[in-house]
Amino acid sequence: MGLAAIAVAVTTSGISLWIYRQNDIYLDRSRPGFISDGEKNEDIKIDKFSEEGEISKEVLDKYLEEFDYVQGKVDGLSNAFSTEALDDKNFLYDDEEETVDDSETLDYEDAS
Amino acid sequence: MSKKISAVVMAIILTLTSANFSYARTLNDDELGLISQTCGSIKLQLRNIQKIDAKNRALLGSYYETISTNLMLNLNLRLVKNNMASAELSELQTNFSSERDYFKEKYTEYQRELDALVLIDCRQKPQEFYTQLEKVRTKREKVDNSVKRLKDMLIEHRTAVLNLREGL
Repeated sequence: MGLAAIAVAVTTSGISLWIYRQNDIYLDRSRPGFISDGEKNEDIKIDKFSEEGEISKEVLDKYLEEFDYVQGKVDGLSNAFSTEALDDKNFLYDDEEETVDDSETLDYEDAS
Repeated sequence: MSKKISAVVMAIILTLTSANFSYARTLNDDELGLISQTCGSIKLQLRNIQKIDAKNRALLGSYYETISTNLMLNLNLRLVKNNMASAELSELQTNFSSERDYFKEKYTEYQRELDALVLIDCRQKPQEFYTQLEKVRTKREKVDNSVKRLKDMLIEHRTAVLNLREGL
């Protein structure tokens, strides 16, 4: 009876792990909590735009100020997933010829 | 006879659309040799790409979340409460959310294929490695295109807000 219970526990744990590895693991890896402290950028510092209050030019100016700040951050990563990083030149080069410098092939590192 | 022809056609279609079918070009011996010889360094590059991608994905995700929830949504709610609801801004918010979901989906697919690529022994199986690499490139391109569309949507949103401001 005890052995059966252990077998069931191991089986269900294995199934759960398999399901996790199919999808959720890809989300977990990208969650901010899984980035090392050294890699974390400063938090986005904006005032949450309130859903309450009037609408005026001054209010919208303030809104755009906050929006531009975050938009600037997004623009900085606009080439983050450029296909250049997986170009043939990064995988089909001859060691005897001039070696491609890593900083050239992975220049999108600077974007972060 | 027609049944036999149909069966042959179906077999061809199934073969062409099977998961193993690929449009990747066939590498010549020199190229295969290069991949085999530099496999170690290639794997290091790919792991570096994985690490950087994960960081950038998290950053972009947080930026999009901030824009969508803290800014766009609240602006539209505030406009509604002031009887100034903007159909254009509402539509842009909806489209932005949809595209953000699409970005998440495509990124997950891309990461899955990249993980599979890293697991291939490029020293022993360079052609298989290259075939998977081309698949990964296609997936990454979809992520890249989504990021660019999201960027364009932000520009559109900003323009709409400016127009709203000028109308006050």
